[in-house]
Amino acid sequence: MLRRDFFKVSVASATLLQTSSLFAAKQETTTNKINKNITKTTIAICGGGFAGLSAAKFLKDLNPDLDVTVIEKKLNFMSCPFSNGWLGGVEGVSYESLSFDYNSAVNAYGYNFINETIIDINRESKTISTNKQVINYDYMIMACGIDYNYKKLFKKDLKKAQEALLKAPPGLQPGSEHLALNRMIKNFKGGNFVLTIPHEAYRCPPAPYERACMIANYFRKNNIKGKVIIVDPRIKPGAKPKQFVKAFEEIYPDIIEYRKLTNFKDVDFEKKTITVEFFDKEAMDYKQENISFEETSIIPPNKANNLVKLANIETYTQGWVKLRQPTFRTVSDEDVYVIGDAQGEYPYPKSAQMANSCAYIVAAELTARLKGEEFDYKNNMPGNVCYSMITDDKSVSITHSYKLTNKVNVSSVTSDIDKITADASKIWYKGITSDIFGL
Amino acid sequence: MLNNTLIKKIILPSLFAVSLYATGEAHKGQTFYYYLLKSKLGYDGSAFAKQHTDKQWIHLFQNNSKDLKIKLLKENTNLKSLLYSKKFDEISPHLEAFVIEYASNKKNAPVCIE
Repeated sequence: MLRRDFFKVSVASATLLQTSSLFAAKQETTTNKINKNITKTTIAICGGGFAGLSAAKFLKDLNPDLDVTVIEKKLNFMSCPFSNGWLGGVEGVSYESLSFDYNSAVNAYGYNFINETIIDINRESKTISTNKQVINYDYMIMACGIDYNYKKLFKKDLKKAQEALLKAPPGLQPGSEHLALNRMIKNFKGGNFVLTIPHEAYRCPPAPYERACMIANYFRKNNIKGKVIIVDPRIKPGAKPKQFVKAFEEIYPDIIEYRKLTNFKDVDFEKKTITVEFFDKEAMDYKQENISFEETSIIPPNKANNLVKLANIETYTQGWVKLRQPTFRTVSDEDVYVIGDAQGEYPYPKSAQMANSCAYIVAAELTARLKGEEFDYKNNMPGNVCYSMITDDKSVSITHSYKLTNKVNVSSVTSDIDKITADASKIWYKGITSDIFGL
Repeated sequence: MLNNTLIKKIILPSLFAVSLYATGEAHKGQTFYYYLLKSKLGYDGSAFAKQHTDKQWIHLFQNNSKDLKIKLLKENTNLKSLLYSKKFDEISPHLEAFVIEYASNKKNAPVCIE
């Protein structure tokens, strides 16, 4: 298949409203072992997020008889994409519209689904132990996402780390963090709502900037005299910088304060202050300052999910997984693949669309591998599109395309902030969720 | 299979050497590079860091950044007053942390780039 086809198929299937039943019909196959006690599978997928569910779906598309098992601990799926719209009170975006059950996907595509917690992975014996059973695999795809690295913020102060997770939820892992943020925003009476961003890489680079816009949007619509302060170590936003700065300065100048070159240092939940270091250009040095807050969301540095460590998979020092170029196979084990946010080999944004796109490539590679065929990575590169909401009815997007020479080269195009992009983002969301959930 | 001698004489010391250079903060080093060095050298921080591996950078920063200063002065002699100032001594640990983190043999988790 040509390189461009993967992105086309990935995006096209994600953006079309799937009303026809090519993939939606229930697949009754000999491998349909839904919720039975499974001990052997060909391909085990750790994680039922965008990456994992996309991989499962694409594998079954390419070979309906393939034995595929997804292992996921959460009881239901909640989307991070569009969650900021819900936090901002955008009409048509509800908690329900972000939530999906796994049943529809399993029924549609006929893969096995184990709703249990992984407690051990033994690559030598090729076994995954959950809290209830042991699964033996031939190939494993780790689509396990991220974990927070609070040690980098608070060193050994576990109590403070736990306090920060509860009182200043980062909102990058779907579920209770978003529910907490929603409560904090909807109950907000006034004052500073401080969002802090780590200088290291984190899931969904535009997320905090989009969140700032959506919180400001909510404050404005509800006449809340609040200020959203963004504490960012960067000199400009780490994603869609021109458009976000335009949003901060032209759309929300009275609400959003963008503190660039400012690093989070500490938080005092009793005094409700955040200590930051900001760069003073006059002095050409960093100075310290305390910012008071009524509510805050502190994003710690991220790293690959701890399942990677459990599986003894090698990572880079920043905590992202090393892969054998140009594949998604780990350097630690040729039979273990990593897709989605946990990988650290390629300059791919940690986004849902990228997870979906890479999942397609891995599904195709594994299918070819099982047939004893070669796979052409060079001509099958992923693609990305990422939307960020700015107001109720305007968004901005960026698309990335990649070319492999002696390294991965990327080119990108960013849209304006407009309604057309907002409309496109809704179609994209509907498409990708319909696709992976078989709706 | 590694033997004890190899571990004790070579691997452990080199690990220790790298870990000593965690005193600076990489993001501050990036800021100092941007404001104090970029315009004089003509390329961004990422390009600067990628010039060497982490071990090569450690060597360049040893002995009060002796070899680094020689290297940078070759590129722009106007850097002399900065390189031999108290300011440079203050920012060196951060600069070092920055280039080690983004050295040519390091992979950083990517962000959306434009």
